[in-house]
Amino acid sequence: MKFFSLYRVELRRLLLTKFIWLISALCLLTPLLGYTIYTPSLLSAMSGLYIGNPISAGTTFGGVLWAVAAVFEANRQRRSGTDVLAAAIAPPVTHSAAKAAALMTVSATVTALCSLVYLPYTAVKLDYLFNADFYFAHYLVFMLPTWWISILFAESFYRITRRVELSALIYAALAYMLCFSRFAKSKWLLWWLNPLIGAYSDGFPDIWFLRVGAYTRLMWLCAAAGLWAFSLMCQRRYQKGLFGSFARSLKKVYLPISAAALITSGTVLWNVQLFIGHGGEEFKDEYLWGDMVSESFYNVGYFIKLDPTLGNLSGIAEYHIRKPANGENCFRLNAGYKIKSMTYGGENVNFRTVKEDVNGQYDTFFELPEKGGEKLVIEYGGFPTVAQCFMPSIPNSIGENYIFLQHTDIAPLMKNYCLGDRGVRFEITFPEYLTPFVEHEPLTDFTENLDGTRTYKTTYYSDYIYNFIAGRYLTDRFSSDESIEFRFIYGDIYQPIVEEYNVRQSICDVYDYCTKHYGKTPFVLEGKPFTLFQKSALSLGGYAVPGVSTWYEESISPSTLSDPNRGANATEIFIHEMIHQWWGGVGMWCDESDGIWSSEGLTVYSTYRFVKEKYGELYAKQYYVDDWKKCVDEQNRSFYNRHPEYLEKLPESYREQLNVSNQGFNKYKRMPLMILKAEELVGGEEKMDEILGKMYSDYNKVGEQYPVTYKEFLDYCRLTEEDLKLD
Amino acid sequence: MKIDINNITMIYPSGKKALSDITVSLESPGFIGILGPNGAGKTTLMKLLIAGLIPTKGEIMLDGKPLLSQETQLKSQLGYLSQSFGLYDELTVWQFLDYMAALKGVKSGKAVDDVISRTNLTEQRKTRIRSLSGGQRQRVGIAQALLGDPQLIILDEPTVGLDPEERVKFRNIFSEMAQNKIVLLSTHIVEDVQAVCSRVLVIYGGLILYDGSPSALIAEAAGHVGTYISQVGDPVPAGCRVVSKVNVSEGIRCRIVAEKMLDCAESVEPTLEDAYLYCIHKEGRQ
Repeated sequence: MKFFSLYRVELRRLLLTKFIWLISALCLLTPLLGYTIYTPSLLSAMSGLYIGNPISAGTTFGGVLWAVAAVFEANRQRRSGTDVLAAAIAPPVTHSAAKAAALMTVSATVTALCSLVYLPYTAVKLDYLFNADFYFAHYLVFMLPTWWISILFAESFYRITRRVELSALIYAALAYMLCFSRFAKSKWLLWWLNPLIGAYSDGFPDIWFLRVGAYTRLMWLCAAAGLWAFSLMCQRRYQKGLFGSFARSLKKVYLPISAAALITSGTVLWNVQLFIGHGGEEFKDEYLWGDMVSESFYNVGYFIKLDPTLGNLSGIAEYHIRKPANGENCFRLNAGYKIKSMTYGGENVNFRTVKEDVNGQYDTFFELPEKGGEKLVIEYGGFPTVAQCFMPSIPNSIGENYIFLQHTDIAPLMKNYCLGDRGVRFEITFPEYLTPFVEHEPLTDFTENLDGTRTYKTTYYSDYIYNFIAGRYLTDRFSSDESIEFRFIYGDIYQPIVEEYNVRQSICDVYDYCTKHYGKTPFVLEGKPFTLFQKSALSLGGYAVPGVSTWYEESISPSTLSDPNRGANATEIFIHEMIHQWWGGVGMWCDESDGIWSSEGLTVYSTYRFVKEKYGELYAKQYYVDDWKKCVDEQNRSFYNRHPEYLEKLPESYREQLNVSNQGFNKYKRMPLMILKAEELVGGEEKMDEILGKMYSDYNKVGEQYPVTYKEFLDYCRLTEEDLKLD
Repeated sequence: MKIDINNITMIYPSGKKALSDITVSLESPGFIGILGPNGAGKTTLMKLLIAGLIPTKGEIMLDGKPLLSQETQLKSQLGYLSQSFGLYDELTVWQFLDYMAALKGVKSGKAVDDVISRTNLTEQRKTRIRSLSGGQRQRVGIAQALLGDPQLIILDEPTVGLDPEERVKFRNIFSEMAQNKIVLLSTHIVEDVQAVCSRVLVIYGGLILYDGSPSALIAEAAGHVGTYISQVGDPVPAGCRVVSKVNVSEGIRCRIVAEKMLDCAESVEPTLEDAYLYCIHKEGRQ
């Protein structure tokens, strides 16, 4: 009862404090930084640009502001002398709790206001991509708890040190060390102030980062609340110093107990977290296979059930074993899964899981009786862990809009055994609105369940499932002049864009053009449709396998289609992205270490050539060549480019900004112009096409592909760096 | 309520001995004045009584139980005004007292209105504290101490900054309150103590020099207070302490306290201030 009356008056007092109003107003402005200078989300998905970045900026900078408010408030009471009267009559713990709760309430109100203030702009910008739940969840999961954590930390530091500057120093050190330093670079879960946000997906919005955000915020809230409880023991009393007050406070046993319990909870949450593997940052290129027992499995079946709401999988894997291997057997499974049971011929099998993370997987060892012909049944399930080495790409996730799983996320990967001729019976159950693909082939055989799910059945013939994908997909089939059939699989949310920009025609046109000028993409299989598969941006990067090439989600994102660097209009930008099937993306990679030579430059040049052929020389000159020349001229005339010695005098952030700007110019303007110059020097367009075609074909001939360097390009052209310099 | 202070010694970490083996008992009803020069140990004693300090030696009992184990009970029955205190400038008088009422666990509303009226702050109830004069701020400080009808009221220099009329008024309020509770008043203004206190403690150098009624203290000083005429530049006679000086036509009339009265001095009726100074003077000589 006392707490609530104290809370009420503290809250009112805060609302009458001008400084708190100032902090609140500044906090309302902090998301603006996410539109400009603080842009942590990778790629350029609209939800990343207009939800991820602003809310992340608001979370981080607002967190700092609330820490300032917390220290200011604590110090003000001491400085003004009101603490003398308060300490004499109020229970210190209850009073401190009421003060913290009041400040947290104000910050919660500002969070709510912030979400409402930016709502209209975000909704207008995202248009049909806007999802209100996704938007508000960011405020609830990232901003609010982070601000609370920040308040608790700041109050704790002040209570322990009783010095404003020391509290600020400790706070800054903690934020820098755990969130922004080199040490924290890939220790994602330590980021208590700046939430981890990777690549956003507009077409397949996934809540993986929100899940991790909620978990880590809970973890840090426990830690911060624990420290806060600890700091209550350091509250100076009886005019004693830090240690004297601490010793006296130990008598209030509930304080050390709650501090220890909360800090322990945070530590336990850190240790048991399943989101990111506890393994190393380097991918371990080790193979599980031992001596294969030929055709040792038969009647293999995986029966999988997915719960996208919780992100969980539960599965049963069955194997009939002709002849068990001698000694200890082993299988590998996602480190987030638990083995619930294991039986062979109906008898329980003893097993032990070695919790040594190898690429986000654990090995489980077991021994089977010698008797063959029995059925081994493994029941398992859980939340799939993402390997540390893949972060911040999220290759395996079970979300409501997108599911991407590989073999060990689906079923145990057995050592020593290989699959017989009869393949694997694969049954998988998940919500009916998702369209599933195994190795990019659609699953079509299903039964409807009463609970809104479908169970898909298929048989496949491989020891390893490279990818199982399910999402809200549409499939288009169409042909080009080259008589190749395309199968374009893309997120249904992009249908308006696909229609508006006539993406199908662009795919055909670009394919025909690039095949004619540079050669066929090696991933096309004769007589089979060429699948262009749009994958979620959540798992960064792309890949190509025979007959299939991944299609970057951002290629048809509204933010990409409005980027003037990539083309004169949205259709041409799409063309540009399609050309990445040859240059960059899943095509030929360039070694971009020298800062000028890039896949992007080659793609811009090829786009220009394509546009020139399609719309005429005048159009191409006006929208491409003239634009490049103008930009390169501006770049050349820039003071700092002419006098790089003055760059050293600029602050690092400005240097970085200039560097990024120059990199963009080099990729999109300077290099295409240099290739155009090379084209003139080597004898014209046909000759350049020949050179590029040869480069492309040579690149695809070698088994292991290395990025093509600028020097190699010059060698193909028989030119020198000097020849291509632009004055 | 009964507070027993048993053999309390207080030595600060700096080594300064503020109180030395003090034993005293306070019982309600009682209006106790504490007199003593600066640094005598008055504020230390008060801080010990509000559990703001832990004694180096000895024990304070609240109704027979150690005070530190009764902190919650003590806080709920305490009205405290420290010598130096701060107020929240952004709040109005009413809001601040409502805030303090919440800290005390007192139901706000009538209790706040009541102390506002008693401390003559009705006109300022909606005024922001930053706009108040020094005296008005002092009254707000007194008001917060009176909130919730506390059983133990500890006032450290409460009438500083008040005009004479207000001082008299507050003295009377304190006196009324002491009818059924303990009021502890530390002050330099001896007149306040003389007017209302039933008991006086004289503290000097960490010791209690006197504990008893003001009249008994005055009686102790009888025959040790006198006046004599001196001239400008005359030294103070040995063994005397000058209480006051008044310029008169013959020279300067000096009022002195002394263990042995001067032959030239005319003995006068002592006041409480004389008695207090005589008490201190006597101890100083020892």
